[in-house]
Amino acid sequence: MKAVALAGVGMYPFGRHGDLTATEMGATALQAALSEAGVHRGEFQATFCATAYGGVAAGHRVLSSLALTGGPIIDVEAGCASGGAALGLGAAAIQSGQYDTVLVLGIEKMPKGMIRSSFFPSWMETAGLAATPAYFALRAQRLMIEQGITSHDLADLVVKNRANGVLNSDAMFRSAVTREQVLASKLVCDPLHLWMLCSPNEGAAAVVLQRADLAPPGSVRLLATSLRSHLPGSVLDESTPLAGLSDSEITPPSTLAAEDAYERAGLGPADLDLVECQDTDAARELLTWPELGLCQAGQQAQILAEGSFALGGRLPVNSSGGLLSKGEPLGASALGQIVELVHQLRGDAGHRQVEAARVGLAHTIGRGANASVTILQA
Amino acid sequence: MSTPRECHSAVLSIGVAAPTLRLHVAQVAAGWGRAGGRGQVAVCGPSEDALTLAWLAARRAITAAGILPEEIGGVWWGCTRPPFAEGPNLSFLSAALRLHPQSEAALLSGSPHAGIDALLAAADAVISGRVSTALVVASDSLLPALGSGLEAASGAGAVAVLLAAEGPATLGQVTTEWSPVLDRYRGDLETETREVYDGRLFREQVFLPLCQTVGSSLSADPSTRWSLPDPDGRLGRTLGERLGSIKVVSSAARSELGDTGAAAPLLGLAAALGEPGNLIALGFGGGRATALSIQVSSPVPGSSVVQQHLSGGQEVTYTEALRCRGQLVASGETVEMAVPPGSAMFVRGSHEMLALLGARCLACATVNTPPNVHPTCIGCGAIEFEIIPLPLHGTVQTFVVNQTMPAPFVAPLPLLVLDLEDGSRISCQGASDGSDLYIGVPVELQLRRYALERGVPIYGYAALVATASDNSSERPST
Repeated sequence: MKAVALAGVGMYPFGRHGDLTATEMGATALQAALSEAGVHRGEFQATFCATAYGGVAAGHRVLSSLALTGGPIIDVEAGCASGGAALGLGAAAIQSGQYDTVLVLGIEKMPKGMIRSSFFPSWMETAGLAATPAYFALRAQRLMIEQGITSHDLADLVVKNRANGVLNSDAMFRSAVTREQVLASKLVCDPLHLWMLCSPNEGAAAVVLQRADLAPPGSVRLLATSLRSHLPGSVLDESTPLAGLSDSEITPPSTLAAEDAYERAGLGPADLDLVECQDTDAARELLTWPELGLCQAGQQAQILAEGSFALGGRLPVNSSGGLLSKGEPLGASALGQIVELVHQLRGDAGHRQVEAARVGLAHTIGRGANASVTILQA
Repeated sequence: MSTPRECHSAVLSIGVAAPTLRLHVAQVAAGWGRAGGRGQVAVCGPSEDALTLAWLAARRAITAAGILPEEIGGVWWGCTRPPFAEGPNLSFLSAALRLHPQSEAALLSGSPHAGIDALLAAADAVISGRVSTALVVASDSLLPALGSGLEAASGAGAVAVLLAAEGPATLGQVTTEWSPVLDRYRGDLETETREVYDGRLFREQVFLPLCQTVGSSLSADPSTRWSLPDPDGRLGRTLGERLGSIKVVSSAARSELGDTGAAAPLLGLAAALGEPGNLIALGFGGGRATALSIQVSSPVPGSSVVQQHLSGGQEVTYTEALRCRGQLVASGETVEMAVPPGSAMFVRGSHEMLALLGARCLACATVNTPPNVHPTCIGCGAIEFEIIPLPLHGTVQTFVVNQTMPAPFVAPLPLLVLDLEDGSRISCQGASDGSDLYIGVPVELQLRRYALERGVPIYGYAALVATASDNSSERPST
C-alpha cells in the first residue's frame, strides 16, 4: 500500500461572506493548496469535492473556474463528515496505486438560521419534530445525567474553544468569552444556550494528497482515515434518538471510526499530541472525548477544570477554536480540521502552536449518522 | 302542550374533557375598554380543538365503561365546529379512538342542538338493535365574533357517553319543538359565530317559550335535577325561574367552562349521573329545543371524576386567548413544510399517527415506530411485522424544551423521547410548557393538534406528566 502525504493545504476563512459564492471560496482555497504543493494543471488525476448544500456538480464549478477540468471530479456528501469521506476516497485512490496526486476540496454556503435539511423524514418536519438544535439538546440532557456534566461544564467547554479561536485569524468568532457570558446568552433549548451552538456559515478548505515519495520534503503523512455510519437502532427516530446517545450496548459511530483508525495507524489515544473534534455544540465535544478514548466517561469535568485539553495542556483539543469559534460550513468543516492539523504538525500554527506536535487526530460526526476519524503524523 | 315520546336505551358510562386555558370575562371587557365582566370561559390551547377534546372525553368514557374500543358499534359526534368544515372528521376521530374499522359514524352539526341530535341518533341505533354499544360525543370550541357578547359567554368542552340496551341510567321521555327563526349564526366563508339580531326578541319570543314548552312537557317532581342551556350567562337562570322552583345542576359546568355549545346539555348533568334519581337535560340551538329525561338507578361509571376533569386550567390574558383561537396572527412568513398534508406520505402515515401504531417484529419482537418508515426491523433486519397499538403511557428517556421555533410552531415547545410501557421508543411533542418535565418522569399521551399545515390540522400524540387520578389513557390498550 502506498503511503500518502498532504502536499499542500488551503482555506477560505469560515464566516459570512455576502455575495461570494461557494465556487469562488473553493477556488481560492484550492489555489492556495495547489501553490503550497507546487502542483499545476495536468499534474493531478482526480478531484473529490465535499459539499452538502452545493447543488449539482459543485466541484466541477470550482475546477471550471480555474480551468482545471478534464479529470474525474466526484462530489461527496456524508453530512458533517463529508470532508472526511472525500479525504478517505482520495487517500484510498493513492494507496491503491490508482493515482499519485489527488485534490480534496470542501465547500459550503449554508442558509441562515436553524439548519433545515432533507435528512428528516418529511412527516417529522410537519409534526414539528425536526428542529435541529433540539436533537443536540436531547443528547446533552442524557449526557448530563449519565456522565455528571453540569451547565457550568458546557459553558467552560465554550470558554476553552473560544480562547483558542482568539488566536486563529481564520475563525469567525475571535473574542474570548466567560462562563457567565455563555450562560447569559439566549436559551435555545435547555441546556443549550446560543453560544454553546456552532454557527452554520460558509467557507472552503482544500488539501492536495500525494504519494509520499513524490510529495515535497517535510510533508505531513496521512496514517489512517476511517468513515463509519451508525449501527442499526442507533440513530434518530429509531431505538435511540441520535447516534452517540449513550445506550451502552450500541457502539457509537465515532468509536467505530476511531478504533478502525487507531488500528490502521498502529497507535492509540495515548500517542496523540493534539485533536480536532466535532463541537457542533458544547455537549457534542464532551461526549466525543470518551468516544475517541481520550478519557473515561465522567472525567470531562475534571479535565476541563485542570485545563488538560486546553492549549498548553496535556492534549490540546480544538486548538483551532473548533466549530464554536470557526462556525460550521458543513462540507468544508472536516477539511478545515485537516488544515489545522497540518499547520500544527508542520510547526507553523503561530501563536496557537502546540509544542512538539507529532501526531494529530481529526474527528467529525453528524447527520446520517456519519463519523470520520483521520490520523496524521509529522 | 307537547307530547313526549319514549327513548329506551341506557347510559353505560360518562367522560368529560375541558381545554387547558381559562379566560376571565373581565379581561375581555378590559380589552374593549369596558369595566366589569364576571366569571370565566374555557379556551382551547394552541394544540387543542373540538376533535382533541372529543377524543379525551371519549377515551375517559370508554375507560370508565371497561370495554374495548373495538366492541363499540359506532360514534355519533355532535359539534358545531368540527375541525374540517368538510373533511375526514369522523375517520380521524374513529382512528384515534382505535374503533373497529367497520364501525358506524355520524357527524351532527349546524347548531348547538347537535349534541342532543347525536345522543338521539345513537339511541335509535341501539334501540333498533343495529349496534349494541354506541359512543356519543358532544364537543365544541366556539370562535366568537370579536367585540360580540359571545366573547364573554362562549367556552369549550366535551362530553362522551356510551349507550347500550341496559345500564345504570336509562333514557326516558323526549320532547322536541322548533321554530324557524334566526338565532346564533355563522354564514358560509365566515369563521366567527355572530350573535342574534335582536337579543330581547330572541329571549322573549324564541328561547324562553320553546325551552319552557319542551321542559314542562316532561314528568318532573321537586327532586328532579335539570341541565339548562345558558347561552349568555343569564338566560339559564331566567328559564329556571319560568319552569318553576326547579333544581338546576348545570351551573357548575357553566361557570367553569362557559357556554359549551353542543356539549352543554350533557356536560351540565355529567356530574349528576353519580347520584340516583331523575334528570332532565334541555338542549337548544338552531331554532330547536329538546328536553330529555334520564333515570339514574345507580352511579354511572366515570361520573365521580367529572368535577375533577372540569376544574383547574391555566389562566390566560385576552390577547393570549385571541392568539390561541387564531384571531390574532403575527405577520411574517410561515415556513411551509416539506410535504402537504394531502400527500401520499400522509395517506400512508395518517392512521399510524392517529392511532399510535407500531410494528412488532415477528422474529425478534423489537417494536419499530412509525411502521411505514421501517420496512426492515431495526433490531434484526427481518421484514415481517405485526401492527400493534402502542401504550399511551411511558417514561421520559430524554427531552428538551425548544425556546425558539419557526412558524407555524410556537415556542416553548417540548420535544421528548419516550420509552413506552411495552419497551418501544418514540419521539413526540410535549403538551405542557415543559417546566414539569425531567428524565424518568412518567407521562401519558394525549391526542393533540400538532400544526395547521397549509390550513389543514395535523394530529399526533403529545406527552404530559401523568397524574395519578387521570384515567384517560389507562386500559383499554388496544
